[in-house]
Order: sequence, then C-alpha cells, then structure tokens
Amino acid sequence: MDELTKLREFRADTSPPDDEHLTAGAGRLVTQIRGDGRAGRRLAGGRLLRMTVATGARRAVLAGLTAAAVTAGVVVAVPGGDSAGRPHALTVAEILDAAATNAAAAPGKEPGAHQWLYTRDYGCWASCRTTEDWFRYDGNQDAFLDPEAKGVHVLINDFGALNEPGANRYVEGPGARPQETRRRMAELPMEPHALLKALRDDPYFADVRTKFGSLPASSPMAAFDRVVALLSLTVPAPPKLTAALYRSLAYIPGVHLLAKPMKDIAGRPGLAVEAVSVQGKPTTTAHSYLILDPKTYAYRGKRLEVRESDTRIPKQNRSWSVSSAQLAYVVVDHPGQRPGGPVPPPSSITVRDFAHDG
Amino acid sequence: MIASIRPSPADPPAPHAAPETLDDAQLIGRSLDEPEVFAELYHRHAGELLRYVARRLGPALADDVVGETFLIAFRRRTRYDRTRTKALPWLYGIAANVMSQHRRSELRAYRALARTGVDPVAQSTGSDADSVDGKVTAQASAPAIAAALRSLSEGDRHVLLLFAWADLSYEEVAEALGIPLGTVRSRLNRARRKMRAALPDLDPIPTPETSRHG
Repeated sequence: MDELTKLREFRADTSPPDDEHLTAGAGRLVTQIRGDGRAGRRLAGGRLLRMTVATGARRAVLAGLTAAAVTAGVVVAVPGGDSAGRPHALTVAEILDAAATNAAAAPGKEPGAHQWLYTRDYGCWASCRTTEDWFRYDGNQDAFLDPEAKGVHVLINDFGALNEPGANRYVEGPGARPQETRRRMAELPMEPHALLKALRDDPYFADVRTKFGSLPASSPMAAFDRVVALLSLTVPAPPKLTAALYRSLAYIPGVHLLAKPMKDIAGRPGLAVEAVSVQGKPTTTAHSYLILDPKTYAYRGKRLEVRESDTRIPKQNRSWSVSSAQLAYVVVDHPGQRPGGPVPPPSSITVRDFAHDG
Repeated sequence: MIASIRPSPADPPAPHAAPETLDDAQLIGRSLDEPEVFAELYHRHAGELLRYVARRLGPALADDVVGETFLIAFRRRTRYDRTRTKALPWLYGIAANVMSQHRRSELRAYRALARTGVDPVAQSTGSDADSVDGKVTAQASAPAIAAALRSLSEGDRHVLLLFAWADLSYEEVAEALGIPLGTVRSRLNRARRKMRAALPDLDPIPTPETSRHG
C-alpha cells in the first residue's frame, strides 16, 4: 500500500450530494446569476466612481442636508420639516430626488467609440475578490488581464460582427455594449411610471433576470433590480436619464430607505435603499439593496441577501448574500490601462476572435 | 500551454441541439446566447466539485464555494478555451482559487484531526458550519495524513489533492492551476514524499528522487 492509496482512503466516506441538494444548488446559482444583473460579460457586478466626475455643483446641491445625514444616519432636520420644527426622517423620495439632482448635473460626455470603460469592482460571495475589466465603448471588444501571466498580459475578446445592431445575439446586461446602451437609454421616457414600464417591456433592459430564473418580471424587486443595474452604468448613461431612474425608484411599491446606514462591501459608508421579495413555497425571502454614497447619493454598490426557509438541506446555507462595490468606472484610451497609468505595450496584448462562433 | 490565452473558436453546435447532447465547450458557447443552459453545466459537474470541496473544507462551506465557482465560471465563460471539450479542470481551477480563501479553516481542521483523532470536517448530518462535533476517524493513519496535508504548501496541496481525490491527470492539473506540466510533476513528487515520510508503516518504495543527487 502506498501513500496515495492511504490518502485516497482519507475522508473517503464524504458523501456525494443527492439530487435534491444539486437541484437546490442549481436554483441558488440561477438566483445569483439573475441577481447579477447587468454583469454577464461585464464581470463582477458593480461599477462606480461617480466621484471622478463629481462636480462642485453636484456636491453642493444638498450639502447642508447630507452633512447631517452622515452624522445622524438618515434622521435629519430639513428646512420646512413639520410645523413643530421637529426633525423628520428623510423619505426615500427625498433621498432619490437629491440623487437625481446630483446625477443630472454630471457632465455626461459621451466616450469615443474606441475608448475603453475601465471598471474595478470588489465583490463577495463565498469569497471576496477585486476584478478589473475594460469594455470598449462600441461594445465590440472587452479586455482583461491574464491572471496566469507573470507580467502584464492583456487579453482582448473581439466580438466584432456579433455585436452589430440586428445581430441575433443575446444581450448580457447593458454594461456589455455601452454605446448601444446609451443610445437606447436616451430613448427611454423620463416619466417614472412610463420609464418603469419601458424597462419591463423592452427585452434589452429586461436582461437576464427575466429570462433566467423565477423572479416574475412584473414583481417590484425585478423592477428595482432593473433600475439598479442601469444606475450602476454611471459612465455611459445620459445624466438626465440617470436622474429619472433615481426618481423612478420611489414609485416602485415597497421600495424604502433603510433606517440605518449600510456600508458597502468595500467598507465605505453608505445609505441603502431596499426592495424585499417573498415568494415560493418553501419561502424564499430576498432583500435587494442599492447602496448610495452618503454625500453625493451616487451609486456605490449593491447587496442581495436571500433566506431560504426550508431547503431540506440540513441547516446549511439557509441564508446567503452577495455584494459588490464599484471601486472605479472611468474612461481610458487603451485596453489594460488603469486611470493615470501606463499604456501596455502592443507586445503584451493578445486579441482573441469570438466573431465566428455563431 | 496556458489554456486561457488560446483563441476559442469551436465548431458551432447544431442550432437547436438539446443542451444535454452538447459537450461542455459547446454548452458554454451556447450559454453566451442562452445563459440558462449554463445550469446544465452545474448539473453535470457540481456533484463532483461539491464532494471534493466538502472533503477538503467540510460540507458547510462546500455549497458556497461551489456556488461561487459556478458564478465565476458563468461570468468568465467568454474566456473559456472552447478547444477543450471537458470543463471540469477549468472548474476545479476556479474552485481552487475560491478555496484558497478558506485555507485557514482547512488547516485548522487538519490540525485538530492530527491532535485529537476527531475529524471536524466529518460532520454528522444536520450540524451547522460552526459545529464542533465531528467524528472519530476510523482510519488509523488519518491523523498522520492530516498532519502531512497541513505541512504542505498551498500549491503542493492543490496538486496532490486534484490528482488523488479529483482524479485529474497531470495535464488536467496543469490546466486547472495554470501551471506548467513540469511544475505539476515536481510538486506532486514533493507532496508524495512528504506524505510518505509521514506514514512510517508504508512499504518502503524507492523514489526517483532518492536515486538522483542534488
């Protein structure tokens, strides 16, 4: 008997999962992929750095109000409170309106077709990781760093003709084709109810969550998640539409401001707007959070918490959560280039053709 | 040599072929347009991965680790080298990465087993992640194996256990971990040598290394 045989006997009684267990796991994956929203080709969810485009005007808009909000949670005194002059809790509508006002003041300059949107996200599920991706604005290429390379090696996936308008191709989240997404967003109505309806009915924006999984497209949480997915697209989104998106959240039934501040998964302070979904039997309760910068109310990240009341899996994974924080989302000129960083030399770039597989 | 940098064209499957008739690469290709077929990949491979991860980290962590593995795989599916018809090594590689974040927990369990003979990872059904019950291992050599596993470097342990528990070939281990074949061989040799040293009751087997100098 050799050491490998001994090793193979070690914990050999670990039982394989049964069918019920696998079915539950597959369901969890589907829920997560659905909750992943605009990700798809965009990797780990989240995108941000509104701060990089923040203007003095935007910051000033609600300076008095937000300073108090930071120190006192969300219960602050605002001018024109109740008749007795007592402070009142900011409503979700007030917060979202402030967010909208700030968002509308962003420059919103459209990137060039061959510029790249650099994203850096921090996300956690069973483990936590930072991911970086580059999306060419025209949507025909995305790029990432080869994790196995010793030095810098930039890999580019070229989707070419597959991404031509009219190509019969599933759209994986609006983040994957920024230019087209901006064009489509610009055509959306600004009135909140009409906007929410358009997002529900347009397959482009309906996204994976209604094609994949069991959350009904008409449910408030699906509406909430669709809006949050677009709010994360801080760079390609037209500012006025972003403003309309923020305001529309207040019109989704049940969407409310969380009473306590909530840090994003990267540990930055934030305010959370929440939607709750209870469905199925056994019951699955999901809490979806949009986390906003407490000063500018810009998009910071999101969090999904799911509790399964009876999975028939012995007490394990009765609840789980997935979070992402957008650490950077800015325009750069070259794939593999970080903001302010060097341009990777051509010798470090490999382009892979994805255009002829369909 | 590095799987992920190859161009990834694959023969396009018949447009309406049922997902279960596709190989892994075709399935992944199909999932670019129809994400729901990715669930088929889970049904194909999650069982094996769950058992492997449970064997290393315990059943409580296995669901989360494997769930995340498939989520990462889903997000990276455009990066999959579709000249490879079997996705399992790729999935094991992602899982190894996720598991690395739970290394302390894995090592703690080996340590406990080595000291007490009780394996915290072999939980009775129904116990939760923080449970301290385990069971006394039936294998006499288990404490020594646990001690040896604990003494290995992270990289060596991945190679050894992918080979011994996941039954991957040398080439598949190399593909999974993104390392050269020669590195797989040298890590496996080193890891086996340590295991052998920890198990004094084994028949002495001369190793290639002992006949080499240096």
